[in-house]
Amino acid sequence: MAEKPKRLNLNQKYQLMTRGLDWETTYQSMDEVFPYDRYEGIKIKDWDKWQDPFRLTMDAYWKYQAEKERKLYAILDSVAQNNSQLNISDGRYMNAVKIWMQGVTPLEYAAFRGFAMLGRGFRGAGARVACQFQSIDEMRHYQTQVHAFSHYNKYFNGFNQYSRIRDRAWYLSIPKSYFEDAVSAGPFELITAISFSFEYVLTNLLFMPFVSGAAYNGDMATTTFGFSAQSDESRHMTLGLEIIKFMLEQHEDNLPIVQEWLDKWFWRGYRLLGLVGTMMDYMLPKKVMSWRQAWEIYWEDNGMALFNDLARYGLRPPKHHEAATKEKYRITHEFWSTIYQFSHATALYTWIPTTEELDWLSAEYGELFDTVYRPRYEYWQELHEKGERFFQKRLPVVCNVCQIPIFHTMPDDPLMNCCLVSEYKGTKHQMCSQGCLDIFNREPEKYCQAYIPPQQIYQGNCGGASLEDYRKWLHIKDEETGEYYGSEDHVMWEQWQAQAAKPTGVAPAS
Amino acid sequence: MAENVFIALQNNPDAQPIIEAIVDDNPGAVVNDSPGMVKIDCPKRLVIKRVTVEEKIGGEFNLQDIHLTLISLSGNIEEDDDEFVLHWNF
Amino acid sequence: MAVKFIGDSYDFPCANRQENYGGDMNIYIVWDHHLIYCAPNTYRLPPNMKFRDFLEQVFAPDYFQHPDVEKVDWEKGVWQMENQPWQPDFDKTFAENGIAHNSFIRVATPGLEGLHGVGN
Repeated sequence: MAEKPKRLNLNQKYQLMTRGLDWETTYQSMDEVFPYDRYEGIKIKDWDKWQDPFRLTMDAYWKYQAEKERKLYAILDSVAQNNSQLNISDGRYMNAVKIWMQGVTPLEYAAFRGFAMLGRGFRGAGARVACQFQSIDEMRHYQTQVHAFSHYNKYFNGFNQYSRIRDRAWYLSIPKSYFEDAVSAGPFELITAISFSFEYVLTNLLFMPFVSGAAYNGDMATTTFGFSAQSDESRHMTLGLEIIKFMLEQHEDNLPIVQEWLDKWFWRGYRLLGLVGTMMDYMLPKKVMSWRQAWEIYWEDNGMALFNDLARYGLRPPKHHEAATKEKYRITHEFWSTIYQFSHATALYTWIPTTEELDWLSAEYGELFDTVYRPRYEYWQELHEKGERFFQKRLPVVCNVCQIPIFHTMPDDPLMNCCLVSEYKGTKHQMCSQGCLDIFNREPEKYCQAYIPPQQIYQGNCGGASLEDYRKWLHIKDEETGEYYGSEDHVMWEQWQAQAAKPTGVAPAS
Repeated sequence: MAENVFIALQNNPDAQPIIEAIVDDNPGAVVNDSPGMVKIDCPKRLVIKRVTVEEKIGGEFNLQDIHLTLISLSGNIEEDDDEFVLHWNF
Repeated sequence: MAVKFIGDSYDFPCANRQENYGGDMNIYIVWDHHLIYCAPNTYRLPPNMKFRDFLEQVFAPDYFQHPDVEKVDWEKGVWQMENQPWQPDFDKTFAENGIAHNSFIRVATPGLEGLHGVGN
C-alpha cells in the first residue's frame, strides 16, 4: 500500500488557520480596533491561551455544514412531497411547533446578530473565529426553521405572523426580552449568557427531550432541523465552557464578575425554559419525558457534575438553583394554566389534557398534581362542557425582569403567588421571584426601561385597551386563538382522520 | 455525587459504529435510547477511539465526522487525530 | 453593582412611570388562594375612585367564574400592601388609602380558600 501523503495534523491546522491568519494592528492601536472587550472589567493577559477543543477550522466547517444541509434539505423536501403533516400524532401537537416558530426561531436570528458582533468584538483570533462560525450557524438555524415550518403554514393557523407578533405579542416578549438583555450587555456577558448559561447549562432541556418528543410524535421536519441544529449546538456549548474556563484562568479578578453573570443568566434561562417544559408536559400528545424528569437528568445530575468540575476555579452553582429545583413539581402546570386562560390573546390553541394524559401527569408529578392541578383542570373542563370556557379577561401583573405573568408561587408555598417589589426612581417594579428581584436590583437602570406588555397596553401604545383591538394590532384572527376543540385546526385534523379511515383511496384534501 | 459525562448522538446508521465503539472502549458507559437519539452516560471520562470506529466500519474514519451525528455532550473535551475524550477533572 | 456602560452616562426614565397614564394610575391586586385566576390583576384607574366601588364594581366581577365570589365579604379580608399588613378604609379613595401608582395589594379571605379548599 502506498504511503499516505503527509497532512497537517488537527492542531497544526488549527494554529495556522486561526493565529496564523491574525495580526497585531499597527496603523491603529488594538484598543481602538477592539474597543468593547475591556469595559466590563474582564482581564485577559494572553488571548492565545484560548483554544477550541474541537480545533475546527474554516475549511472543515464548510465541509461539515454543507453535508448537514444536504441531508436536511433532502428530508425537508420529502416532508413536503409526502404530506407529512398527516403523520403527526395529533392536531394539538402543532401548537408546540407554533411556540417554536413564534418564540424560538426569532431567537436564532437574534443569536446570529449577537455572535456577528462577538465575531468582530473580541481581540483574540481563536474566540473570534469560533463566534463567526456560530453566527453563521445561527443564521442557518433561523433559515432552516422558517423553511421547515413553511410547510405547516400551508395547513395550520398560527404561523403566518411570526415576525410581527415577535415584536408585539405579550407572551413573545418573554424570549425576545431575554435575548435583548443579553445582546445589550458587553461581549463577555453576552457569550456567558448565551454560550454558557443557556447553551451549555440549559438548552439540553430544549433540544434533547423536546426534539426527541417531536420524533416520537411523527414530526419529521422538526426532528430533522432540531437535531441538525443541535449538532452545531455541541460546538456552541463547547465554546461556552471554554470561555468560562478561559476567563477564570486568565485573572483572579474575573471570578466575581463571572459568578454574578452566572447567577443572573441561570435564572433568566431557567425562567424562559419553563415554557419549553410546558411544551413537553402538555403539548406532546405522545410523551417522552416529563419536565421533572428532564430537570433531574439535565440539571440535578449533568448540571451539578459541571459545577463540581468548575468548583476548582472557585465557582459555585448559580444562586437560587435550589428554588428552581423546588419548582420542578409545579412550574409547567402553572405555566399551562396561564396559557390556557390567556390563549384568546395568543396565536395558539389550548385545551384540557385527556384523562389518559392527566393520569400520566399524576404519575409523573404525584400528590401536588392530584391535590391542586388535576381538580383545577377538571373544574375548567366542567365549565367548558357547560359552554363557559374559562378565559381570564383582565391583564395580569407581569414580572419586570423575565416578563412572564406573575403566576409563579412562593418557593415553599405552591398556593401563594409570589410578587416582590423594588422601587427605583420613585416608580415601583414587580418581580416574580427572588431570582428576578436580585437581577433587577443589580441593574435597575437597565430593567426600569423594560417594555412590559400590560403596562404598554394600558398606556395606549398597543392599538387599544380591548382584547379585540389588541388582537387586531397583533394581526391575529379570532379563529387562530383560544380553545383547540372546535378550532379550525381541530376541524381540519378531524377531516383528515376521517378521510384516512375511509377505504376509498381518495387522497386527503389539503 | 453527580459525576457523569455524556454524549448524545442521532440514532441513525452513521452513528451506529460510533456508539458500538464507545460501548467497547468504555466499560462504565450506559446507553439510553430515546426516540431519534441515543444518550450515553459514563462516570468521569468517556473516550471515542478512531481505531475502534474504523474496525467497526471496516474503513477509514475521521474523528471530526462525529459532528455530523452529534446532538449534545457534557464534559471537558480533548480531541486529537486519534481520540475524542470527554472528562471531568474532579 | 451598577450597570456597566459605554459612553458618558446611562440614564433613562422608567417605562412605567405614572406620567404615562394621563392622570390615572396602575394598581395590582390579587385574591390569594384563588389560583384558577393565575396571576395578580392589573388595572388602570383614577386615584379618586372609592376602594369599595373598585372592589364591588370592578374587582369582584373579574372573578365571575369563581363560585367563592358570591360569598365573599371583603371587609373580613386580611389585607396586605407591598406584602406588609395593611388595613384599607373601604369608603375612602385609592389616594386617601395611600394606594399609589403600581401599588401591589393582596387580600386573603379566611374560610374561602378556593375550590376544594386547595387554593384554586
